[in-house]
Amino acid sequence: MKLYHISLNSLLRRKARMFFLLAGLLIAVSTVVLLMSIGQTMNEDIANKLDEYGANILIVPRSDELSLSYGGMAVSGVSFDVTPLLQDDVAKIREIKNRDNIKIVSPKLLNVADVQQKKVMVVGVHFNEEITLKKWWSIIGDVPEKEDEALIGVDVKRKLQLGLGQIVLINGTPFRVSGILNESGSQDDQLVFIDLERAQRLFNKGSEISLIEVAALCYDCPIEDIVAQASDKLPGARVTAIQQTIKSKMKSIHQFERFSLGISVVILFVAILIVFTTMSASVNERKKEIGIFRAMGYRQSHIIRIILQEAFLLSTLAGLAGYFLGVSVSGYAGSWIGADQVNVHIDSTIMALSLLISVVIGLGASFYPAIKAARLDPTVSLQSL
Amino acid sequence: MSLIQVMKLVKTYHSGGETVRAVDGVSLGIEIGEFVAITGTSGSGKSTLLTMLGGLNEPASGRISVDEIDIYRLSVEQRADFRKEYIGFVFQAFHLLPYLNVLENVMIPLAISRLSAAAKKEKAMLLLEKVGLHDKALRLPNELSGGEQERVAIARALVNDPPIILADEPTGNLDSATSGIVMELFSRLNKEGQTVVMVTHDEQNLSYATRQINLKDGRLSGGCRVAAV
Ligand SMILES: Nc1ncnc2c1ncn2[C@@H]1O[C@H](COP(=O)(O)OP(=O)(O)O)[C@@H](O)[C@H]1O
Ligand SMILES: [Mg+2]
Repeated sequence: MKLYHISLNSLLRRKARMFFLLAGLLIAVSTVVLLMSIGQTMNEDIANKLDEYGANILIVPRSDELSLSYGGMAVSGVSFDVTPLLQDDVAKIREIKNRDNIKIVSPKLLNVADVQQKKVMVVGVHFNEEITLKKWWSIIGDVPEKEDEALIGVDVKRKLQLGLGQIVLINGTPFRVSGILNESGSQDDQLVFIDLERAQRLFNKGSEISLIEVAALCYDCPIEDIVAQASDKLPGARVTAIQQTIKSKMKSIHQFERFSLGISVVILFVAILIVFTTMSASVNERKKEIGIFRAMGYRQSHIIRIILQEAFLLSTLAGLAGYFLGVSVSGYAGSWIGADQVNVHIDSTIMALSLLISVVIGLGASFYPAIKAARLDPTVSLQSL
Repeated sequence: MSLIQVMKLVKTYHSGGETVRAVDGVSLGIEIGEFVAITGTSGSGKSTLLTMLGGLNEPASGRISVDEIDIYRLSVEQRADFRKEYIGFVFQAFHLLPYLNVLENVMIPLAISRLSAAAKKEKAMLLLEKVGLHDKALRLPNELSGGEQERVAIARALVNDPPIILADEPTGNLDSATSGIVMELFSRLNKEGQTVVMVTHDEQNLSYATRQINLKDGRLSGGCRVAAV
């Protein structure tokens, strides 16, 4: 028989009280695990959906003048004489160090043209890239496949009274409207999209490009790095990271993480109180027993060990059980917070962390009661009986 | 020199602004192999003296040395080691732990020793045999009669082979027939050389003792009677 034998037996004996302590710690640990898992799921979810948020880097020719604006960004050099971007520059972006993070490169040529006697901005794009970039686009009809087909924004359709399949003259050249872009609320509604190479020929621009939109899927590396790398490759261009929905989404995740941290601190504090009161009450209940141990020659340190061992056993149990409870509950919580895919997996780091939290609280909050127990006057404890 | 040497021992308690001199200047010596009965009316200081002898209760002044160790000069932890080494306590209320079986209760003092598990068990079984309870080793205390529980407590007090047994009214909760059995056990142990100091107010028990010390208001009173053996 050893001291842990005494601890274990005494725990089994005082099931009701210890259940209270166990439940308190377990609920605390599982809630913290739940909050951590939700935060993690949200992060993973956003990482998975990164490509749905469109371009996050804009490359335009370098210029001091501001002329046109696209997507809220000033685009210079569209109608002024600056060194334009060329088709070759598009390939260079694929050569940067973080090239694996570059998901989509979509070059564009912007030009104001006469469309049915009205001035409309015509954009030359590579349609296959553009539609992957703009996942939110909803198109009535078809994406242009032939060079003489055009996709028009809903505002253009209204203003020019156009319909699907109709022929429209752009600077005198006929194009067939193969698709109409549904209301997107963006500038795209006022644009006419045609094939990039066709646009270059139509406007006599050679291999010129007005701007390049890039979608870099970099969840944990700073977008600024990619911007810097692209700037190095394209010294004549201005490379900018653009604000977009993902940032606000990230911000709300950070807010959630701060919120969970606050809640966790409160919960863990309550857990400390529960352990402390339970352990103190338990020590009070066991005064006589502690007196017996002391009379039998147990040192104060032995008493402390007995009590801390009990706390250790309970908090280990609570840490493990709390982890698994938290993980299983987070499986349900994931869909509740609107994450598409919830990966309920055993994460050894979180498991170790919840064990650690539980044991630190269990031992920490039992320390003072254990010392109090060790310092009890054994004669007083034994006297009354 | 005596095994236990008590010099001018004083213990005071303060309660409600009053100071009680529970033990008031006691000096005495106890030799190896004695069976000392401490008698006196309730509140005369018997229990206080006994716990002080066992290194469990610090005196206000005076000195106790056991085996020439001045025990209240030891640190708290050293004094715990002293108790483990020298003292076996037996209480009136048995004080067995309800969640441990009889064998485990006897092994409590061994839980902090370095003996092997097998040696601990063997030792405890040996003592259970000595008190005639080896067949009840796996019972829980509440399944035993009062006399049996007291015998378990005696086995527990002996398991570390302490030179001194201190018993505080060990028969106080027992009927006279059972008391007789328990006293026979103490007497037998004493005849085997065990030093016993026992607080009792039961006249019946005095016949087993080799010496009686009577306390009155914390002081020794009357002569010391040595039992005719
Ligand atoms: N812890 C204590 N606090 C206050 N007074 C005490 C304490 N222990 C004993 N006393 C007092 O000391 C005196 C002696 O008590 P005790 O040694 O228990 O006597 P006995 O064992 O002979 O009945 C009594 O008056 C008792 O009230
Ligand atoms: Mg008493």
